Amino acid sequence: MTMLDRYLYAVQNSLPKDQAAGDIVAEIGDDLQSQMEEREAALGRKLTDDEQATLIKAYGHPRVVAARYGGVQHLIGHELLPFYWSTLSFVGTVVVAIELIGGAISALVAHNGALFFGALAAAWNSLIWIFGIVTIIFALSERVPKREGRPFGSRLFSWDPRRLPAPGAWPPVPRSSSLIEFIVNFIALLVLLDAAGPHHIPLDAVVANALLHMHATLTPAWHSAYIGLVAGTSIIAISAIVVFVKPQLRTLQELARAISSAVVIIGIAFTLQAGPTVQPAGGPLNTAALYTLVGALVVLALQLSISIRALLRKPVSRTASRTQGITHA
Amino acid sequence: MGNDATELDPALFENLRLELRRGCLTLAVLSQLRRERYGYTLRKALEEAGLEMDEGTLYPLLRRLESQGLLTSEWREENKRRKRFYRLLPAGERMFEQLSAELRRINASLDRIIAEA
Repeated sequence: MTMLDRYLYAVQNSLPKDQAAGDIVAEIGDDLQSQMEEREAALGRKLTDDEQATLIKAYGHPRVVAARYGGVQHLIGHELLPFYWSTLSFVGTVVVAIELIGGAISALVAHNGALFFGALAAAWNSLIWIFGIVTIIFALSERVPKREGRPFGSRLFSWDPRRLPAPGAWPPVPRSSSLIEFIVNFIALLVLLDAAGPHHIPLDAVVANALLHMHATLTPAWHSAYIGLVAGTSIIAISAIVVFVKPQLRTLQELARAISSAVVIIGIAFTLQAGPTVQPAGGPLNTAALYTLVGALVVLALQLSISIRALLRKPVSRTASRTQGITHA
Repeated sequence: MGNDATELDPALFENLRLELRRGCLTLAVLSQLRRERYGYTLRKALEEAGLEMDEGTLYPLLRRLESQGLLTSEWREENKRRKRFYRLLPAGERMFEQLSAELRRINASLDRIIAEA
């Protein structure tokens, strides 16, 4: 068996299954033999093994040569890629949100905080599965014969220029940001609602044990701040769901943040007016609670001012200025 | 500030050159196959005309053009070796004529654009 035979055999083994391997290899073999004959005619002698090896090597690695006869070389092409990413993030966020909410509700109903953490692990597994399944579906779509010049799933390509956002409109809120906002506030809400009767949510247990250890209890002065916090986190959690479904509602997001901050500020203000927040009064714990509440007020006031400024600001994006440049040129 | 001519990136130039050339190769192959040829002689003919084309590009291109119904091929024996001969089909000839006209139109436009630049 010659060096050329071994090379052609290696190319044949790497060729895509749907290709006529015999034809391709015969043609490559003929081309290489013609090159060798031409070289031999120029030199007036047979090629040495080294010269043959150089010539064959210049032709290319067998796998590389074979790959040129393949059809689609990418897993997901540039046409489907943006739809792949948006599908992946949409399906991923919806499934994770459902699992986390389900886990949190189960934890509350069963009075077992561990169920929530079980749901977290399940959500991670689901993400891996979603990644695999969505990738396989899109990769297969790439390989389905095209109809009317469009890849499989051409519904993805249906769009109406009249429904595109106007230049200068608020940019849509990323769905991942809405989802994170919802999860954080939903968990905070669960912890707050659990404060009255422990359901074994670890944070509650830590706070309860710490207070018990210091022979202290929270006073009824906290009620106003508590109600404000429950209302504030609920408002943000609900708005996050709405904005997740309709990402262009950025104004709603800012409005919810502003109202939530205002509600919590009012709650804390009433708490501060109501007197000592920790029993026994006058101790270092009272001072710590006071500083905590004042610190929270400062942070919330900052958030409120940021949200109000965002609501009053006229949204002019870079796209808008570019568009104006184009349309006025 | 920006890059001047002395900072020309050779790799970038090579990429753009290949991009520029890619579309012309099909037309060059179609032009040479108005007369029957096999792969090696086709490559030689292109090379002599100043358009070098490596085998890894030529043979897959020939297969693609054949599957698109522009070429036909036939295995025959020549000089005691079996060779695959290619020639244009009538659809390939029409395609060649239309693409040639399009290339001439693009060239004329580019000549004007470059001259004005």
